Amino acid sequence: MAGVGYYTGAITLPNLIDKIADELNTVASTHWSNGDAAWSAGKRCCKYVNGGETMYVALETVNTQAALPTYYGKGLRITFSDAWSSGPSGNKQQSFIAFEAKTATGIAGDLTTMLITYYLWIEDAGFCVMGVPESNTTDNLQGSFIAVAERYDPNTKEYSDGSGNFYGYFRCNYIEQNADRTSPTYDGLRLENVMRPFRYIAHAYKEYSNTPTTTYYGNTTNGQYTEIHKSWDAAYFGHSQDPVGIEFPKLAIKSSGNGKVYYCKPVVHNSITLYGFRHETSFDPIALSDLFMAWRPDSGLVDGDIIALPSPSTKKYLLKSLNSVDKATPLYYGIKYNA
Amino acid sequence: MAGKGFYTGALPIADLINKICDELKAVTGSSWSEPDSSGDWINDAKTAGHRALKYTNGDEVIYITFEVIKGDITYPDYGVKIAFDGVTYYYYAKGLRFGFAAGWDELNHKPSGSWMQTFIAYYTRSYSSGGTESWRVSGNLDTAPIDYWLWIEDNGFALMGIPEHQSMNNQSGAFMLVSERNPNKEYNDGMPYFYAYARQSNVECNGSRSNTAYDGYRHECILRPWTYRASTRKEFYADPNKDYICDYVAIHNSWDATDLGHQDDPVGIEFPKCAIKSSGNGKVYYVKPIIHNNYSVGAYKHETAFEPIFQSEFFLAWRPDTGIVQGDILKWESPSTRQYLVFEIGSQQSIQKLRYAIKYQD
Repeated sequence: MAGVGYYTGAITLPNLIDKIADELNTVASTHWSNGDAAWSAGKRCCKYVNGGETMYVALETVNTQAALPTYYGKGLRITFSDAWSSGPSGNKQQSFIAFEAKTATGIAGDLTTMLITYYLWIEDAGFCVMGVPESNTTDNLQGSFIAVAERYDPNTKEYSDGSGNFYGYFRCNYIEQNADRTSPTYDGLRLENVMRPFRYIAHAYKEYSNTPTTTYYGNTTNGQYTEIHKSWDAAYFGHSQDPVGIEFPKLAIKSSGNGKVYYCKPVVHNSITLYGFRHETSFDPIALSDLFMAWRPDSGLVDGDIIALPSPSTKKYLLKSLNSVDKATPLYYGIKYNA
Repeated sequence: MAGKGFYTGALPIADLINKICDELKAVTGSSWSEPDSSGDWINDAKTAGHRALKYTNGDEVIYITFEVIKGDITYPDYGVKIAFDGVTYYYYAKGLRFGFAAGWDELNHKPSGSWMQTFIAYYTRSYSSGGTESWRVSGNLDTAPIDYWLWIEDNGFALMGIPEHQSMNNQSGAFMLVSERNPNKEYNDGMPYFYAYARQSNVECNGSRSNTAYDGYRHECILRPWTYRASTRKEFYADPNKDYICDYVAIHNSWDATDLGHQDDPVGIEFPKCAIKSSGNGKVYYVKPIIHNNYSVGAYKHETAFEPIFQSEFFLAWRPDTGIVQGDILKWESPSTRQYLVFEIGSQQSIQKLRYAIKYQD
């Protein structure tokens, strides 16, 4: 265990969850600890305490085939909660990344044995992980994924909101299903792209369309991952499948003039507001992300590039372009590589 | 003359040109001067309908030019032809031509060398086939006043204007023109430190680049001497030799499903985030316009330029549905004293509005 740092390798999801939790616990700040010793063997409770601020970040292996409902999936569930009682309690928000999915029952992937190639950043503020599951020929909706659980330095917030300092960002490059929010059957089985505890949860197209009770979004036009700024809605003048609540004003590009990289950090908002003109859908910025960024691939940036911020900063980001065996729409993100 | 500062009023175009030039010269420690000791490009735009200024800063020299385009030489009451839609409608116009010139011909007393221009046809009329009267562009530019709002400092000017209404000119619009020098480049490129941004709220015509009859009469949204000039759709579609008649569309309000980009956004200048007012703390957030040194239109055109050279300090773009309204003053946080004045201006013939803010205090 080394705590703050970058890690990569190939391990099972339960082991990856252990890796994240154990490395958080090793960070010198001691803000992180095990929140519940009974949460083990594929699930962990990561408790963050800083003065009067407490947050539980629960990571769970969902290895039982779940109806989403259109497709079937296994994967990683992340829960933010402000209390704990043998499990997340009090206010809580959940997102389920069904990276091992199938159009019919009979998912072959066993998450206790199949490997995930992962890229992980750990620091006191949280973690950012990208992963690609080991391929198999049975599960035809396998996806790569990114999961970010980040705490802002409260001194960098745009205003005091009384809402804690965490947010989460979660993407899967294939299926991002989000069932009817009024149906408890699907609680814990919806992929939420953004969680801002405890103000809102948001899926991309569902929130953009403002249809929370629609049974599901999971077909080829309204629930599969679409790259940032690559969708459009002519009625509302907006990127219909961009995540709502988090904003990417400028994806990283490499200048053809000086070779430097230019981008805007992701902007996390405290609320969602849908007007007729929906090119932007949030007008309540609270903080910028520091753990990750998004990039576009056609200006010279490639997978594996390391973006170093100008001196005296020592901060670096590693760019990843992650496909999955079943979907060739990559996740283009950079994750922190050096503090 | 007070030099640096904010000005407003109503003036005919030649007087407005004089106002800009005279105030630039009056800036304390001004880098601006008359370009010549004689000839008709100096001192007054009213007589010859044009005027130029010289910018000198060490070895850096550039000329800016203003021309009143009153109309057809043979028929002064008519406009100049600026585009044809290829089927029915011809477009004629009057207005303001602005340019950057690299040199000065002291023998013939006029600009020389590279001369990059944009024509802001604020009086424009379209017509279908008919008699000569049908392409008359009304409005005497010698007398028609323009309501203007103007920022002046040594690095240039930002101007927004609404011309006097002329009911015959069915494509007329409000306009803006920014000519800005920014010494804070991202890298040394051997090019001038200037750019210009020009918009017309109704229609922006950019005739075929291979048709010399349109030279000097194309609306270019951006001039970046001496690397490129660019409009909107023409560059977006890499289609230089076609007459483009582009209705003004607000930033980020258009889309092309094939190329995945905002087809009516200007190319070469980027607006990553139009100003919004936060519902959380009432503050305004935006990203300064980014001026690039070239543009590159690949398959995915949500952005169309990948060579940032500097950002604008003179103006910004905003969106109207978060609480910002015309007349708002956007103040930077202390210790800065900078302010921007918000505008939402159009014409009686244009539904679209120019939603920009220009510098109001440094």
